[in-house]
Amino acid sequence: MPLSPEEFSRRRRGRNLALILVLAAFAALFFAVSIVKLAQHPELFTTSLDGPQHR
Amino acid sequence: MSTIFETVGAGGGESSPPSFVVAISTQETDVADWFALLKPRVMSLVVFTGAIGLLIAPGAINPVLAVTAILCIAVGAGACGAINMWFDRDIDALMRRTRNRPIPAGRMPARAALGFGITLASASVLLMFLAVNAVAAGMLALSIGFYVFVYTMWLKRRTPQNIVIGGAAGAFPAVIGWAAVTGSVPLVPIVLFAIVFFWTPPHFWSLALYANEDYTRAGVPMLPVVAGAKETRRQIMLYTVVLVGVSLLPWAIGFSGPVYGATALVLGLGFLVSAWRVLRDRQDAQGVSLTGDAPARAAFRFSLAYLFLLFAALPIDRLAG
Repeated sequence: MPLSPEEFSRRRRGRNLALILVLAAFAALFFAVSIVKLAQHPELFTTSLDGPQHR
Repeated sequence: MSTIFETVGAGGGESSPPSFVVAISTQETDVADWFALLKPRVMSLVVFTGAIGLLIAPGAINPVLAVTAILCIAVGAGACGAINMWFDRDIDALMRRTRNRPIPAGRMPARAALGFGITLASASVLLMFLAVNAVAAGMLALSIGFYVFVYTMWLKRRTPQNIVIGGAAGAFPAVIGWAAVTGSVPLVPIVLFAIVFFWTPPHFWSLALYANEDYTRAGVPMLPVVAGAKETRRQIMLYTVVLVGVSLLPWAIGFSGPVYGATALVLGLGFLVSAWRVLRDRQDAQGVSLTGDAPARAAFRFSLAYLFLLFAALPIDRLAG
């Protein structure tokens, strides 16, 4: 059965909200994982300016 | 698919953009249906066994990476559920238990479920590889592939041994959790794998005994459909005996102490009593239950509690020791 325009809009709003929350959580998770990896393996994140002689 | 039409733009005057009509699908799927694709009840068991594997593994893992590993296991399991619902949409429509799922109920296009499942599966394996380690990612990919290709697409509709071999897919999470911490798969996680593996047949066949009509209608060759209820009850008893023996292995090989050993023994005796009641259920000459399969329903419920309590005893035993 076709949805009413109101129900259609409600569902789309719900889906968009869920998508925003998932994407935000995903970004936060990647940030946290990066921080942990940085702390565990600092040598992987040195820039060329740091060079071997400065370690 | 039904559509509604919406006019976009003010239209008319020189200063406003021209109006035009767009067709919008009225089948906008509710968020709850996307969530239902993930089979959340199955996922809870998978997350639990994965978390136990992670907790009891020797060594340490950063809490953020531990949460990431559990999340990857959960999302990977959810992806399996979504792909399974895409593939099984024809038989799901025939079974009372599954006909209200999003695809057979017409609330979601099948291809959307497939795309959702593939995306989640790829993302979970990739994230496990980047954040945790290659062994855990490899095991996760293997478990997803096993569930989708070996169980869902190959075995489920071909052999009454479908859930015996396919049960291996559900046994992986504890191994993945362990591998997330250690990066290896030694004997202990293989024993945990074996426990879930031998738990699966009595668990699912208890359900199949009283969901027999559904499976018959859908043509799924579950053991009660192919070999009859009597043989199924015998097999439930047989696998339960093996399961009880396997469940004692963590204690026998010295990984766990008396707390786990005693818990496994008590729970095992309880499961044996349940299976015995299923075997001795009052039945007619064809093996059809005269009690509405009450013992099978009880055994199914007990099997769920059994696995949760048995696995919970592992970290508790480590703490006590």
